Amino acid sequence: MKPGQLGQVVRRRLAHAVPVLLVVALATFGLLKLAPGDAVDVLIATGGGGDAALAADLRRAYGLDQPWPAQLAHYLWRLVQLDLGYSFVHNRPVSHLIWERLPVSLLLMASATAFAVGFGIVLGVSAGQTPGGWRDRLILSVGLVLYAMPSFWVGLMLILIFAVKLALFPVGGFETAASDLTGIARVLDIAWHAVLPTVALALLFVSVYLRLMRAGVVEVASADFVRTARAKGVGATRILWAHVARNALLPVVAMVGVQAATLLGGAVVIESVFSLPGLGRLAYDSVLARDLVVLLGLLLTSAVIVIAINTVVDLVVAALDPRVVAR
Amino acid sequence: MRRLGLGGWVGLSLVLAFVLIAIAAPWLYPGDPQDRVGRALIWPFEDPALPFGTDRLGRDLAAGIAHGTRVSLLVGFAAAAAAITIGVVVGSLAGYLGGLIDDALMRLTDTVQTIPGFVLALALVAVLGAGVGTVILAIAVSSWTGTARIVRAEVSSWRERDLVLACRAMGMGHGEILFRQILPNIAAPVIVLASVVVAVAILVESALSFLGFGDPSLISWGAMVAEGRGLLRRAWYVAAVPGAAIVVVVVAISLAGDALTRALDPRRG
Repeated sequence: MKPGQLGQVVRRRLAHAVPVLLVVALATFGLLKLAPGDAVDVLIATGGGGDAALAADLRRAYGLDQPWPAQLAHYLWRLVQLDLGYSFVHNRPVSHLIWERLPVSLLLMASATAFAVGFGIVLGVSAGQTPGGWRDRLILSVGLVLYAMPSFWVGLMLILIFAVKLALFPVGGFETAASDLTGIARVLDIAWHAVLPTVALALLFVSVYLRLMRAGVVEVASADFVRTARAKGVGATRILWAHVARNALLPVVAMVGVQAATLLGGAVVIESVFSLPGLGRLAYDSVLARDLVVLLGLLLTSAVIVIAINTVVDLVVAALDPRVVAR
Repeated sequence: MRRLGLGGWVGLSLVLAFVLIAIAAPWLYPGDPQDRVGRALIWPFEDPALPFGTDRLGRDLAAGIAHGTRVSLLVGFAAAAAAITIGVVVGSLAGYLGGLIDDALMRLTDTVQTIPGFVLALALVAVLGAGVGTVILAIAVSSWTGTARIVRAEVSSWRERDLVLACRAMGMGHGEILFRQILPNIAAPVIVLASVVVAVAILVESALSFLGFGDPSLISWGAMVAEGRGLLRRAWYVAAVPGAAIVVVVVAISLAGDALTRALDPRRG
């Protein structure tokens, strides 16, 4: 990738992101207005009641007595300043709540993506080498079942087998509680806790990537440059990995961007299964507490995360494929 | 129809079987599936009358599975029908009209693809309350984008073909050209996509009801798995059986969808 290209890719993504985020913000504002009651009702309900005069005072203080276009302008202006609102349930700014829980979710998403892409490549190449053969059919059937398994159920079954029966991994949690581990020991402890959630979240995506990789391998295998390489006397293994797999990889990497939103949604469920203190847990607790401000903040944050992942994916694709000069 | 293959036949038969179970559930298992039928935690196959055993409260898991089929299929098909309708309308308007409307609709599609559907569903549950309607709405508004993209691509490729030019020369209106001439020609890819959307909708519904955000008055497979969550040590089948039902129905729909792809598209064999 040429140095100027990096800036170009990022700039294009950012230019694209502004209108997208604006529409998401309009949607969250719409949901906020659609919900029965407003922030003052929530505040009074959680604060243990109050009279109409207090409510009116508070509404004036928060600008909720103004017409909705003014409220919308106020809302957008706060968002521009990265102010996602205030959660009266937690008594803390929403952005702090999200910021604290973000690393856990990002770690889970990153490890699941690495697992899914890795296994997707190996299985896809293995299936695509002999299309229609027994290995191909077996791997495709496994992919079909992986796709059909709900991730929360996979999580529970993994807990049943590997935590309850075999006692190889912990049942849940981000790390061993009150263990005072530091440095490398703590990293290993977190990784040990992350194994089952990673697998549970990744299996669905393994099936997506293996099918793409298989299709790519089958297609590229008949390309002229592969025949040329074979004619030159390049070894079969080298042709498979250096010529075929490398080219078949591009759609897989591009798909990681397409799947980003689904991945985040899956992480929400998996965090709840494994009691991980991430964004998913925050979302779950917020639905139970009807803490709409937090949920809408999460919705906006999710959109930003998805855009960020897509930017990274664009950069990786541009680095892998010299033909892709930032479109 | 020979092109369906073994997988296609298995898939279509299973889908049909599940539809029949859903219709017949009130006759197969009359009464409320939440009623106690025997001792708590009878293991599967222990009592021939209770093939899947009973849960913590002595409820028949087989009755729950049969009644749960209704929710899964209802949500799956209703959400997919709504999503496909939105996708076809958005995609055909964008593809047929082109220009600014095309740009605006595609930007909207990009935006919806940026929002994780599951997080949006949680927000909608918080706003509208848990219920089967909320679940259908939440799935529909987040899963129409794939259809819209495909329909847009197909419609815009048809717009310039001779068929459409001939229709226009005959004095046909735009609505008639779009709905009577173009859309029937692109039905195949849309039907294939519909099977994927149904499968995804069933999975999303099960995840929502697993978290307890499904319809509180209806029994559903996801909620049944959640019931078994605390029993993994003592009675793992309570969580395993309803989950397996989800896997079987989604595999069946995927197989049926693959078979339809082959049957409807002679170019791919």
